[in-house]
Amino acid sequence: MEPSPITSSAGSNHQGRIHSRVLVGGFALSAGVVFATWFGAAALGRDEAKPRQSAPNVSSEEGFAEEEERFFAQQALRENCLICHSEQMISGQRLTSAQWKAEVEKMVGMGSPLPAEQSELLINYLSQEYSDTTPAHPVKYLSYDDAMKQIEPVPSPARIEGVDIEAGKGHFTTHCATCHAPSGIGGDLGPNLLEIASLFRQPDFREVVHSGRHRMPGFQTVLSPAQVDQILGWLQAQRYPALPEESR
Amino acid sequence: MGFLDGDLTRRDSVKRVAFGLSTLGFGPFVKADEPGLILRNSRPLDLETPVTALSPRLTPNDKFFIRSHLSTPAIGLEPWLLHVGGQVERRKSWSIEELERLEQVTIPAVLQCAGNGRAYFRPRVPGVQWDRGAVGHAEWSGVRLIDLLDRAGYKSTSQHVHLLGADAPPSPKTPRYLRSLPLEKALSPSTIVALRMNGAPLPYPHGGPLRLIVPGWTGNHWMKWLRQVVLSDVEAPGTYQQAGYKMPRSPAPPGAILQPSDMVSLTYMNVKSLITSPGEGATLKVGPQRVQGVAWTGAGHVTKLEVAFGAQGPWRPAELEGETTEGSWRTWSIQWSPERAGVYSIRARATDSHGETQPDVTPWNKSGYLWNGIDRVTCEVS
Repeated sequence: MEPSPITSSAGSNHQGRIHSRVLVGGFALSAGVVFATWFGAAALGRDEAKPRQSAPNVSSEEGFAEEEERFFAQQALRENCLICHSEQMISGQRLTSAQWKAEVEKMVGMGSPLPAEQSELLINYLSQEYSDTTPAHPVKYLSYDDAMKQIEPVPSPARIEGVDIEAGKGHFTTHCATCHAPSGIGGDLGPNLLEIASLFRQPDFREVVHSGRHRMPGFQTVLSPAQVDQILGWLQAQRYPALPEESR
Repeated sequence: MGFLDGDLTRRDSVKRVAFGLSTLGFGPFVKADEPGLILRNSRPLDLETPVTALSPRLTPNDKFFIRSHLSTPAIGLEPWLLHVGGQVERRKSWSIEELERLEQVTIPAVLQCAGNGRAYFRPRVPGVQWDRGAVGHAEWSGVRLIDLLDRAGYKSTSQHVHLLGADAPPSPKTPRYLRSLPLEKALSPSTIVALRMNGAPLPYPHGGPLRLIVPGWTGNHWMKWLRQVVLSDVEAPGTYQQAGYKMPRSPAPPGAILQPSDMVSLTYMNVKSLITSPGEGATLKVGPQRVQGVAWTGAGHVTKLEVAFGAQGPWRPAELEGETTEGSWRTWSIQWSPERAGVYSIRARATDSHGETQPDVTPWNKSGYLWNGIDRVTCEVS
C-alpha cells in the first residue's frame, strides 16, 4: 500500500465510507452518534490491544468528554498520519508521552498537515493508547503474494493509452493542484502523485477521485470518467525530479 | 485499530468484519500459526521473517524480510535507466539490458536492517518494532559498482558516492531516501548493483529492478530501486545521511545530551546469531534432537558458536558450516538430548574473527540500532 490517498483496497474503501457516514452524522455528540462510532469500529474489528468489554460510558458528562476527545483524536490520526502510514506503524509502538511528542513533531516537520491546535489532543491520545506499558498486539501475518498484490508496481492492466494528456493537465491544474501542487509532487494537504505505484491501479485511482478519501472530497459531480482518465494519463507521463548534479 | 481504514486486504476485511460481528470485535484475529511474513507496517511495506524460516543457508525471496522507507515506486512508466553523474569525466546511463551485458558477479551476503531487534531495547525506542527476523541471506548477482564508476571516469576529487532510489516522498517536506557511500567502499569489488536475488530477477519489494549490495554493512546502505548515482566531494545532504543511521561513539544512557560530533555513521554490522530451530515456545520430546541456527558478522567472519541449555548450562561449541566469506552467514547445529521434561531456555552466542562476542545485552542507543544480545529461545520438553 502506498502513502497516497489514491491507494486503497476495496475493503479499506468500504471501511472508509462507513466512517465517512459516521462522521457525516455530525459532531453533536448525542449518545447515539457516539455509540454508532463505537459500534461501527467494533464491528470492523477495532483495536485488538484494548478491546472494550462494554459500551463506552456515555452516561456521564465525563464519559461524553472522554469519548469526544477520542473521537476527534482518532479523526486527527486518520487525516494526518494515515496519509502515509498504515495503522500498524502507530499501533506497533510503545512509547512515553515525551517520545510521542517528539515523533509527532518530527512528522509535522516531514510534512504531516496536522493542525497545531490538534497536536496536544493527538499526543495525549497516542500516549494513552500506546504507552510503554500497553500490552503488545497479537502478531499479524501477511503472505508475500498478498504483499505483492498490495504493491503491484508494474502496469497491470497496461498503461493508460490514447487519452488527451494536455487536457488532463488542465483538469489537474483546475481541480487537483491546490492540494497536490501544480507539478503533482504534493503540497500541504495532498501527497505526491508522481511515479507512485498506484498510478497503475486504475480502478482504485478512479474510485478515490470519484468518492474521495481522508481529507480529499469526491469529484463525482465535477469530473467525468473520461476527464479522470485524462488526469491519470498526464500523471503517468510526469517524472519525479532527479538529484541536481553540481558538476553538470 | 480497526476504526482506521487503509490497511486490510479485502479478504482480511471480510474476515475481520465477520469475526467482529460475531464477537463484537473482542479477541485476536490472526492465529499464531498463520503462514507468511510478520506484518509490521503495510504502508509503506515492512514485513519481518519468522525466525524459524531462516534455517537454510539461503533465505527464499518470498520469505525474505522487507523494509521500505517510502512507497514502492511505479516501475515501467518508462524503461528503467541507471544514471551515473556528478564528478565524472562523462555522464553515463545504463538500461537493464545493458547492465546484463556487463560482467556479472554473484555474492552471498546477509542483508540486515540496522534496527533488527529494536523491540528488545529498554527503555523502548520509536521506530519499526523489529523482533529477530529483519535479516536474511541471499545470493545477489549483478554488476560491480566500480565497473560503472570506471566507465563514467570518476574524478580524483570525488570522495563520496550519492545514491538515490526511485521511491518518491509523499510531500516535498518529506526527505527523499538519499544516502551516500564513502568512495573507498563504493570501489570495493564486493559492492554490486544487483539485478538478481537467489537467481531470480530482483523482486520489486526487494528493490527490483536494481538494488545496491554492500556486504557486511547495515541495510540502510543497500539502496533499493536504484536510479541515480552521483559522485561528489562531500557526503549526501539530508536527514538520512546527516542525522539518521548514526550511533554514539561510545554508549550513552537515555537522556544524555549528544553533539553531532559524538555520533558516527553506521557501517559494519556486529557479530550476531539466531537460534532458528526450535522456535520460540516450541514443544519438544525428551531425547536427542538437533538445535540449529545461523551466525554472521560485519567485518571478518564467524569463528565460533556456542550454545547453552538451561539457565545455568555451560557453553558448548556448536558445529559451524559453510563459507567464511565476509558479509555472508554460516549455519550451525548442535545435538541436544534433554533427559527430563520441563521448560528450557536455549542461548546462542557467536564470536568473530576479530574476537568480538555477542554481549548479554546490547548497550542502549536512542534509535535502537544493532541489537546483538545473546539469542534466546524458551521451549518445553514433554
